[in-house]
Amino acid sequence: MNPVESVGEGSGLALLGFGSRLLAVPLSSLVTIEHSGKLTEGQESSPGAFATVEAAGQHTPVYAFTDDFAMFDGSRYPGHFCVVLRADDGARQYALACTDVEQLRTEGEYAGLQMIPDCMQLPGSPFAGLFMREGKLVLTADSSSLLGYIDRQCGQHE
Amino acid sequence: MSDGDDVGENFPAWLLTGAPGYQLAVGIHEVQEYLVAPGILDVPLAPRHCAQLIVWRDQFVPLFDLRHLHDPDLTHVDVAAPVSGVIVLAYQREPGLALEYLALYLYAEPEKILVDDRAVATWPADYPRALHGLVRSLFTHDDSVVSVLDLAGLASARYLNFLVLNHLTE
Repeated sequence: MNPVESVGEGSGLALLGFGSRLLAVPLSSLVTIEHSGKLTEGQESSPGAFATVEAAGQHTPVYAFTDDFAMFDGSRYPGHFCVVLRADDGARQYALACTDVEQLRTEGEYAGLQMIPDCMQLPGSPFAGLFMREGKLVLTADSSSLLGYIDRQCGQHE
Repeated sequence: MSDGDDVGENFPAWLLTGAPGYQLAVGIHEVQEYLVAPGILDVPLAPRHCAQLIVWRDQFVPLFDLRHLHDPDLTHVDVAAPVSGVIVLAYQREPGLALEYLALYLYAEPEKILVDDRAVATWPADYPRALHGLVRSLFTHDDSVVSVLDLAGLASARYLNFLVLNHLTE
């Protein structure tokens, strides 16, 4: 998928930090940003989720990534934020715990966005594009691809 | 010179060590720049032979480590082999299309050579399977077999699919 198309016209990106990694998703898929204090652990019904959060009237599974985008499978993720996203045209809602979150509302904030080269795009990778921001590499993905990746990763762990 | 003399031509090329024990040659015009210590960016969830990028002239250029194609069983323990630098190469997917770029780790300094077009080599029995389909030609230089590779093929999605289907990358 073209990452520019996935952003939506003028809608911008939500920039999520997972330790040293940065991931950007379309702001159009963002439901809400919650503080990690609202997370509940120990009541997860979705495989791979380490917590749940109530958001937009839904009991929402919360996932997190490690530095190499493996699934975080511990408890007490060391991030302060929880970004709730909708996927599959709003049919599913899930959340990502992260260490940092920022909204990039103008294209100038993600100037240089490029497609990931064909030779780096392994089947199953959710990433579509990349750009540099303040000397760091940012990967982009759309919300449904990310959820598909999470589902596959968590299915492998079952 | 009389008719029938076996006189070949010599072509200038760069001899590159893409992995310890694996040499390839590229045309002079294909080499863009040799970088001793470029900034390197890791890309998660990418194939291990191409899991990094460099930023070169304001664009992302995929960085290949041919050791993982030369020896698909290479473990992380071996990854610390000494690198002499990174070379940026240009290629075209089709004649008339814009130039694209890829980078290779080198395990020795690049060397300018003259290739004798009569020095055609036969396939070594142990030629790496993962690289077999990329070979345009083989020749001998200083008693070693040198490969000429299809660079556009190396950077293609089709080649990555071949590696995945044959379990030659992960």
